[in-house]
Amino acid sequence: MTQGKASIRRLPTGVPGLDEVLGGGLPEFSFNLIAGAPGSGKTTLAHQIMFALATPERPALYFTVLGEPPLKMLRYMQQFDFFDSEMVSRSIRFINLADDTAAGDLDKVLARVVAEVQAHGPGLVFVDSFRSVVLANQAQGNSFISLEQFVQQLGMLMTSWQATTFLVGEYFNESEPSPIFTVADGLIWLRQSVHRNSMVRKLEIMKMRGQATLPGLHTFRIGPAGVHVFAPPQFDQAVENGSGSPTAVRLSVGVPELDTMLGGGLPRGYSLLVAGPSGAGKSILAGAFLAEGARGGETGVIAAFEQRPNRSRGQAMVELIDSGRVGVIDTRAPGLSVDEISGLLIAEIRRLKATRVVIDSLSGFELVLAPTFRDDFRESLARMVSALASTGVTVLMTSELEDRFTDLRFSPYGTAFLTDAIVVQRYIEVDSRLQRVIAVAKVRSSAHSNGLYLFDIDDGGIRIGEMLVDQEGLLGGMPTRRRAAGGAVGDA
Amino acid sequence: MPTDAQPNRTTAPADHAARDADAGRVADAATSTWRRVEAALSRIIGKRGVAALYQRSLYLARADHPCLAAAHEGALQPGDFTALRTALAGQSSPNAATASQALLQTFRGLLANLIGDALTERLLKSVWDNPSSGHAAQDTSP
Repeated sequence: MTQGKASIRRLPTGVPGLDEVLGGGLPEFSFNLIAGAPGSGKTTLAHQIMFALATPERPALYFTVLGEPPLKMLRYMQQFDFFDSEMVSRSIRFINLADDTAAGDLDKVLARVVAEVQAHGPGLVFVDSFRSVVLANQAQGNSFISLEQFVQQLGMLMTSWQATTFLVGEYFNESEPSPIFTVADGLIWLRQSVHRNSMVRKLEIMKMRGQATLPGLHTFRIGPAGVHVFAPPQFDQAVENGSGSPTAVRLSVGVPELDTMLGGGLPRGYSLLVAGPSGAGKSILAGAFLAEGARGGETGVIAAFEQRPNRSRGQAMVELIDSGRVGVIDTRAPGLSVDEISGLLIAEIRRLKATRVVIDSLSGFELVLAPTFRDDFRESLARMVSALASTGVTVLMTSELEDRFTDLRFSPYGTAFLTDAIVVQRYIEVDSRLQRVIAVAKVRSSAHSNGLYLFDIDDGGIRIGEMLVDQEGLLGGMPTRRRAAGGAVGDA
Repeated sequence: MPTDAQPNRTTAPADHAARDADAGRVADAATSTWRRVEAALSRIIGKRGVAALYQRSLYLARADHPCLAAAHEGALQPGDFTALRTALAGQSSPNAATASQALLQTFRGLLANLIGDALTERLLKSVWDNPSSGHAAQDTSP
C-alpha cells in the first residue's frame, strides 16, 4: 500500500448515455441524490440503475418511504424492459418504511435502515422518496436528531458499509443551499423544461466528487426501455488527428459536372451545404450523393426531416434503404434536440461503418426541434458538424433558401461558415421560363469553378448544362442579355 | 369479475391440510396463512397496504361467501385477523374451507392484477412454501 491513492471503481449505470455524462460511471460507495420535480423520472432512473447493478453478490435494498405507494411503484415500474421480476427477493429487496416514518422520529427511521442494511449487507441502497422523511421531520418538530444529522449519519454509515447510496426526492430548492447538498458526493438533477407547448426532459450532474462530468443540461427521453440520456457528441480523436492533406482524396457527389465544378469532387471528410429554394433539386442531389457512394461500396446514413418515410424519396433511394446500404434516422419523435440527432447519427454511422451522411434539410431539422432548442440552433449545429467531421464521414446538408434577389445568402442560419463547401441553387427567369442555375460558392483549401450553370432535373437526376455567358444579372433573378459591345445594361 | 381467474396451481396448503378437520381448525389454519401473507408483504408494501388489499378481498369474496361479511366489517386494524377467525369458526367445516380458499384466491388475483403474476408469485412464495406452521415467514439471507 505504499502507492497511496485509493482507487475508485466506477460502476456502469446501465442507463444509455449517463456514464458519459457522469465522466465514466458512478463512483462505487458514493452517496448520491437524485432530485427533480414530480414526474421528472427520478424513480425510473433509480430503478433502472438498480436493476442494472444489483446481483446476488451485490444486492440492492430499495426503501420506500411514505410518498408513492409501493404497490403502484411496482405496478408501473414493471412496465419497463429493465424490470426483471426474477431479481426481486434474490438481488433486490423492497422495504417499506411508512410505519417508521409516520411517527416522524428520524432516529427510529435511521435505526430501521441500519438494521436492514446489517441484515442484508447490500451493495446498493435506495431511499425513495426522501421528501417524506423531510416532511415527517418538519411535522414532528421535536425529533431527537435533525434532518441534517440524519443525512450526515446515513451518509457516513452507508459509506462505511460499502454501499453505493441514492436518496431520491423532489423536495430540494435549488436556490437554497441544503446541507444535504454538502454531504452528498453526487447530485443528479432531473428537469422538465417547458417552452411554449413542448416539454423536454433534461438532466444535469450538479456535482460528482472525484471525476470530471460533462457540464450542462443533457436531454433525455423515457421510453419502454427506460431512461436514455443524450450526451453531447464526443469527438473521435483518432480520426481528427489523422495525417495527410485534407483535399488529397476526393469523392464524387454523383453528378459528374458538379464534381468538375468542385475542382475534382468533394474532398473526403468535408461538409457540403446545398442551399436553394424549394423544388430546386436539393434532395435529389443528396440522393445522388448517397447512391454514388453505394455504387462504390460505401454505406451512408440519412436524416430526412421533410419527406415522409418511403414517399417521394425515389425508387433508387428506397432500394438503397431496403438493402441496408443507407441507414435512416427516425426523426419523428416530438421535442428532438440536436444532441439526440447527433447521437443517433453517430450510432448509425458506427453501426454501418458509413462514410457518407445526408441531413435533409436544416430547415426541416429546425422545425422538428423542441422550441427550447431553437435559440441555440447554430451553436448545437456547429457542435454536431464538428462531431460528424471527427468521425471522418463526408456530410451533405441541404438548406431551404428563400429566393431573394436583393441579397446573396446561403443559409438562413448563418450556418455557411460551418461548412467546408457550399453549392447554391436558384431560380432565374429567362425567355419566360423558370430556369435553375447552380454554382459552387466555396470549397475550403481548393480551387473550384466560379461559373453559374443552368441545370435541369429529369428521370436520370440532375443534368448540368451551359453557362449563360450572354446573360448578366443572373443573381438578380431577371438576367438581361449582354450587349455585343460589352456595355452592361442594368435591369429595371 | 373484477379480477382475472387464476389457475389453481398454488393451492393454499392451509386449506389442503384442514379439509377434513373441523371449522375451528380451518379457521386457525387460515389465520396462520394470513399472518404469513402479512409478514411476506408488509415489509414491501407496508402494513396499511396489505390491510387495504385484505379488506378489498373480503369485500369481493363476501358476494359468493356471505359468511365473510362479518370478517369484512371486523377487519379494522392492520394485521388483525380475529374477525376472520371468528367468522370461519362459526361455519360448517366445508363451508369454512371453501370461503377461506376463495378469499385467498381473490387476494392473490387482486395482487396479480396490480403487479403481475410473476411478481405476485415471487412475493408470496414464502407463504406457500412454508407449511401451516403458524410462524411468520422468515426472510432468507441473500
